[in-house]
Amino acid sequence: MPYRDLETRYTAEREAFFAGLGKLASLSRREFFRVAAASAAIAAAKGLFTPHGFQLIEVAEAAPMGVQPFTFAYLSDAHIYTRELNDRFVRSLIKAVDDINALSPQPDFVLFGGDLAQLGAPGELDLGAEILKEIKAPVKMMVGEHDWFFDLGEHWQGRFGSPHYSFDHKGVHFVTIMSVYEKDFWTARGLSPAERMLTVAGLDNGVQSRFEVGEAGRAWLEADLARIDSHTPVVVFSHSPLYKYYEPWNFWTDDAEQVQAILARFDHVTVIHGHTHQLLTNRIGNIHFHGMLSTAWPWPYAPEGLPKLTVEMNRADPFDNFDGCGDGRFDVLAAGMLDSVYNLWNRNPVTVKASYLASGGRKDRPDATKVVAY
Amino acid sequence: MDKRSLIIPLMAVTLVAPAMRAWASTQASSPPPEMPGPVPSGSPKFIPEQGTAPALLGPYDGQGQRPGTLLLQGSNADQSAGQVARAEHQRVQVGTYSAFGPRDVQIWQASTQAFVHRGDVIFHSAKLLGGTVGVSCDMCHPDAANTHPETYPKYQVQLGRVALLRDMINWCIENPVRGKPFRDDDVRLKALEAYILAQRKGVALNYGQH
Repeated sequence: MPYRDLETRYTAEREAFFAGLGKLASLSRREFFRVAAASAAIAAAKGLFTPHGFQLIEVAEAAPMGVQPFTFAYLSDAHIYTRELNDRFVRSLIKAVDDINALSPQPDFVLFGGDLAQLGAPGELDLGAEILKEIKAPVKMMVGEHDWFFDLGEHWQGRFGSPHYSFDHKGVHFVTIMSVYEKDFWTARGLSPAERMLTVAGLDNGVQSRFEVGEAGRAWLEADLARIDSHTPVVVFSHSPLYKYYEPWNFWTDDAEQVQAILARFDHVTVIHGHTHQLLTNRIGNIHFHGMLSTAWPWPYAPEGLPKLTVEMNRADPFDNFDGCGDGRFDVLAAGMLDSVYNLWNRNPVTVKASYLASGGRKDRPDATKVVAY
Repeated sequence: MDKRSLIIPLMAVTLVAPAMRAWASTQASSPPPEMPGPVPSGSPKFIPEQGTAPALLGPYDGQGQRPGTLLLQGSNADQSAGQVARAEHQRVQVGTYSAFGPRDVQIWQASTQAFVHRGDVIFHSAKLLGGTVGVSCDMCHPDAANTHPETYPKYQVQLGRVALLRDMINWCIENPVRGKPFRDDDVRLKALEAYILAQRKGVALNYGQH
């Protein structure tokens, strides 16, 4: 770009402004105010300086029309045992349900992020379903590996339906995909269903295969998104992160690049994932990734591969069995991007704003702990 | 002496000897397994590194040296005559403690690894920990992450006293794992410590770090 001095730049911007004004002149007054409000919201979400009047027109043109701001809540990774064995995780799940029922105003819907049961037993899944029934807002379910690998999803699907589905809500397209398929590692070893489940339940044994969406899943996703306009904001619910964080602990999706390629054409994509039980933030291209908290226990950060944008939470206090756990919510902005609010139990809440991700970490950095993580 | 009292030991030797010979013949002078060895503290390197047999040890180097003496040799093949002459005069008294060879090191390292593996198995099993609620250590500490044993002893604020790693292991067994804490001399406690320490090889000791 050739150098232009200050005066030349201001003149060019004024020309562009008046040219764009012609387009605005055709709008009714109500439409004009809506565009202006949307532009201001987008400028704020993108972390642009406002009001810089001349820029609002460009921004307004890129505005996804028809996105009404709203909120949805989540609770994830409950890992419950039946009460007779261990009621600690059950109590945590009930605590999260109470948190969500106490939200005012109520969220539009509630996402359950996967891993409802710890060992995939029908008793655990049924108990979890009973507890989740207490949530007042509609619940969108997602499956995790702990729910699946005891009976390869038979009981879970019987209770909750298909593990992948999509819906539209207030201008945003939501799609839930099953991203914890694993290539068969149990037949060759002659593992029983219980042994297979125990193997998958262990994070650090290298025996289980890495997670994947799989060819069928990717084809389904592509078909589902084919009819969606690229300006429509897309939110993907996935249990595994859909990027490659740390392979030994299966914080990993084998076909992540292929899934990201399917999502690449959209202006605004947000992936919300479970499994990692920690504050996790990442951005790859235009895709924003947010990890959800677990209600059951926090995982430590992996020794390597931590995304740069993540502002770590300090290690959990083992003497407090709720520390490092929690639930949360997402605020969907008019810009089609999402702010993530982590409701950490026994800690101050942490907000990871869309502007933080959109600016590549330069603005609105989330609060950090003073204590050094090691 | 009654000859019959010799029968059993003699039989034992005759039965075992071929097996021992067979084992001995399978032992090529291969380098020790890839398991990391202890870090020498600056004393002469008796521990073989990178598959090189130690050039220092008299009784095992097949050179017919009298046990109890050590012939210091340079590892460089082309030595000047003067160097060789000087080396031959450096005879050092060596006792049993330092008279070990690659085979011994292999056995010791294998034993250590087996003990660490024992701790690994207990670490990952709620039942073997004596837990009653289906919780095992790896549920919060995959690969013993976030155990930071190098920071002990330290003042453990929540306990209100100075603690060692084993105190925290026992606290975890009592509380989240809901089992009976191990006695100080319990081999399971030692195995768990061994496993946790083995995962932090190379990390600098920093006792007291909060």
